[in-house]
Amino acid sequence: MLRRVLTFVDERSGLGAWLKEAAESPLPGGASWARSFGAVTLALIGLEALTGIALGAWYSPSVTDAWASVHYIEYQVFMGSLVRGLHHFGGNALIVMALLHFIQALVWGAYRAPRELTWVTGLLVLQVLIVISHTGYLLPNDLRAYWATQVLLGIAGNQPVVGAPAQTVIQGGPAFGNATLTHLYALHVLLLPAALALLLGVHLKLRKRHGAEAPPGAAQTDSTTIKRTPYWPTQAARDAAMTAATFVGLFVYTSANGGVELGAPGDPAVEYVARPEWYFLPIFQLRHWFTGSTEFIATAGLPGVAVGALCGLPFVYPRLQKKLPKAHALIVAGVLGGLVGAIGLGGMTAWADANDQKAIETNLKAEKIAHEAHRLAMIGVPVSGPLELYKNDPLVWGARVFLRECAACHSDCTEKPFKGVVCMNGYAGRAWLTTFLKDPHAPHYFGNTKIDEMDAFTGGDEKAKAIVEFVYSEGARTDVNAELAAKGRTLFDKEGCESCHTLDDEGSGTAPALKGYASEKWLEAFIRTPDAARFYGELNEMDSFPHEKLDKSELSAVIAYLRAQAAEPLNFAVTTP
Amino acid sequence: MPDAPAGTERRGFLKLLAGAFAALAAALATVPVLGTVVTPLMKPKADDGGLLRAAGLGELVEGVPKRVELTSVLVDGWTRSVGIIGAVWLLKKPDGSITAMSSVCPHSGCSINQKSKSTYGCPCHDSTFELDGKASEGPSPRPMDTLEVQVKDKDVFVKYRRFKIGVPEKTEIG
Repeated sequence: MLRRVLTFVDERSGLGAWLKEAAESPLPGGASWARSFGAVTLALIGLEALTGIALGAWYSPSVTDAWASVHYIEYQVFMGSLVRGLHHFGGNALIVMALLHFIQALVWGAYRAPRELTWVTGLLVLQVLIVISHTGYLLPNDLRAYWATQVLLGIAGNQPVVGAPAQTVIQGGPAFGNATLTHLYALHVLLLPAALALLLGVHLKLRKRHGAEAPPGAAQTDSTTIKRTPYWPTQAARDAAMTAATFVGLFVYTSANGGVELGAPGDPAVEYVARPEWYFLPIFQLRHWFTGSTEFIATAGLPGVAVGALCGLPFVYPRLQKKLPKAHALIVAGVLGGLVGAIGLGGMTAWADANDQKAIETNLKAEKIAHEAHRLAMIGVPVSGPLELYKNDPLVWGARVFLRECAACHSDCTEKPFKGVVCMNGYAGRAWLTTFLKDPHAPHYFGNTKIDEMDAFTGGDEKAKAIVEFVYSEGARTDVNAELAAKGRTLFDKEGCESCHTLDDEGSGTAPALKGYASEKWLEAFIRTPDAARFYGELNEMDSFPHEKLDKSELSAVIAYLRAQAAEPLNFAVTTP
Repeated sequence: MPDAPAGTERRGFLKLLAGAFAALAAALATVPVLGTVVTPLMKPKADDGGLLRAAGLGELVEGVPKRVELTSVLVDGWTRSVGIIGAVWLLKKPDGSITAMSSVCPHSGCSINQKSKSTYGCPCHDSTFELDGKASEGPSPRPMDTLEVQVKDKDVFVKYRRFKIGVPEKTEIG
């Protein structure tokens, strides 16, 4: 029965003859591992198509949904993390394999007649692969993708003449948004794969027409006496083995890395030191030297010249060879030299980044935000987008509101020298209060303000400890040592604190009243009206935050954040100038 | 060739290797992909089991049906929102007990309205139901679907469920 079906199909399609021809297609010079690079490239394209379809079934390209759907793939879809990892690392392996195939074709002299067009289509395939790969890099819309997209759109926009309209067309509007992601998605899954299929079809058709190239040594032999091996099974076994080894390698690599990182959601308010994928690092490095109006030399000029020269190679080769019998060796050396140069350029960026402490710290901060976002997204991402996630956690949300509204003056306590006003890391905790009490005019406290009325407390550690416990207890804390606080209450009066810092809601007009200091109620009143008589009055330098500037939910978030500071260890050392 | 048998053996082995490696590569590429495809079959049925507040006890008048919309958290794939998930008819009976019935018509899923003081009606195919939900006229294959009700303090809570339409049995669907 099966035989009859096969015969039927064969008679009408010629499939059997086609397979036989492919199996028996002769390889001059015999089977070789170097020949397998092309086959593995093809297999990886298949892997990308398959895993890409699986991802496409779960991915949603919009500003509100892109990150959320990738998070879902990563954590909720069965084997989703594995498929995303295979797709990501497979894409990288694909570029590597295509480059190896390119080097093999170059060294073997496969650019020469009659294979000029095979060579050119192969180069075009490589270009398309690189662009497909990089459009995919942008789709998760995490911080890395978001900032890389901004850079890419900027580069497009900076090209002479066509730049500005090209940028508008690619981003689908005047600015980055939903249409940018749908445009990138259409490029990644529709237009570019179609272009790839077409170019690859021509490339393979031409390969069939001209047959396999002979390796460099064997090429010298007379074409009539050269040994020819059929493709099946010696070369087929090598191709299959290298493909299987590559796939196994991708599995192991993906598992060892726990999948591909998904950063925090793309956010214009969060800094990130974004880098393109490794194959664009040489261009990235060149941009250091070509800036402003010459930037297009790095981003389009030099790469364009390089690709143009490679495409033109087969056509100038006959003339070159007449003048220089060793032209082929020189060409190989020149192109490989260019590749090494490109690797060197990319290496410079990688080296600089690995030693850039500030960049590393910036990205570590972004990684912390990513952990928060991942945790909060497990129950689903708000329909209004992943940036709303942070609102589900007052501490995370409060930290973000603080960053937006307060950090301009209450700057990062670790900065050296500290140029901000009263440092909020560890705020109103025991360590913070103690160091404050002993040196209120240190740069981290009032040092950078006009306030100079308060005297440093010099009454010894024991008394200081009690006073601190008392002030701490005013904040409605759960871990107060009541006995010590009571002692502190007496000292507060005895040591003269109370003559300026009254313990009521009225204030003395010279310093903030401390009844309920750092409690929710106190902070709410203080942030709303720091210039009230019970707080800093005429001495006040802080902006007030009425409802229009900071609504109730944001205010409570900031207060929750500030109150949680008391449990944080101080990340700065108080220094007296 | 003198060593033909050895050569044949080698060729056979290579064929086996080629086939085995190709099969391995194909399996590695397809198994995870199939995993993602069957994910929806593996997800446990959404169990929002909890009770949803439908109305205050004081809003209900004995013998007068009241239609209320139920609001709940909706998790749809990767998104989460709060929205209306359905509507129910509440009725306070003379003995003080309260019944709740889904507003989805068991015939073909339209939304049941009140037709007269003592009947409900579906606008799509004119099925008519009595106040206790019994189908009195029209094509509905079964009475209106009752839902579990609980009264806590002064609030009425309903356990909202959906049922298969167009069949005589009341069968819950996930």
